[in-house]
Amino acid sequence: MVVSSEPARLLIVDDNKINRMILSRTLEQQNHIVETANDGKEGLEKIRTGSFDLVLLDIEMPEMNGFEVLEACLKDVELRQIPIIMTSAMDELDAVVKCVELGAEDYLTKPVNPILLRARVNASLEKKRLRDEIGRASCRERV
Amino acid sequence: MTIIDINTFNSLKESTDADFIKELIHTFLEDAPNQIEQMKNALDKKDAESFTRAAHTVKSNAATFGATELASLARELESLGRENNLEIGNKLQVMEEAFYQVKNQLEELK
Repeated sequence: MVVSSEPARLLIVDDNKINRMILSRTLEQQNHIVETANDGKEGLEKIRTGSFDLVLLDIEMPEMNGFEVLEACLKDVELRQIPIIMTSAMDELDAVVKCVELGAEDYLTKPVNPILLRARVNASLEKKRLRDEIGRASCRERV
Repeated sequence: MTIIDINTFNSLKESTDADFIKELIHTFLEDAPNQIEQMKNALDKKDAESFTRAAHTVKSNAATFGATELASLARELESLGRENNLEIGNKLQVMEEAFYQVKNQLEELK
């Protein structure tokens, strides 16, 4: 179980090294455990095997783009529980809208503001925690 | 247009420590010439996808450091690449010159 003040397992999927460095550093400063993937294909493999609490997913990437990774996650019963925050440049807002309509948790525009990043990650983790609690309570009621 | 928007650069600087900023600048200055080279090679091979991807990376990193003119030039090239239009005249050369101006200023700022 994850609350905003507890360390969470986060995955950053971005083909841009500088973006990965900045996002990792900002989130590690909050004591989160951060892994990275350099493209969409590697990202999806890690999402499938890594038990992450949240994913930060770039849209414009080689191999698989962020939209394709998001679609693959949303089709999977287990993976669709993981909140995905899309990251994109200011001029890719049409693509962001498409991702949010499809089911992405939230989005951040790059260059990412560290305060906004922390706020959105923590809010998403808190929402996930509440969803998980409700899920567990429903299971107990059924038993 | 200024070479580096100092407000953007300072925001980045304030969000982290001096050593990390140096590491970021070092990475950018090391990687950007490779991306420019990738764009030149892509032009030769008429590979719009590779050209667009490299321009996208230059644009994104330039914006991170507040290099507004470089970001704008890279954005224009990215758009042309996305339209499969590699008739770019001297725009890549102009972008490369802008990068070297950015490089000089970042080396002073770090």
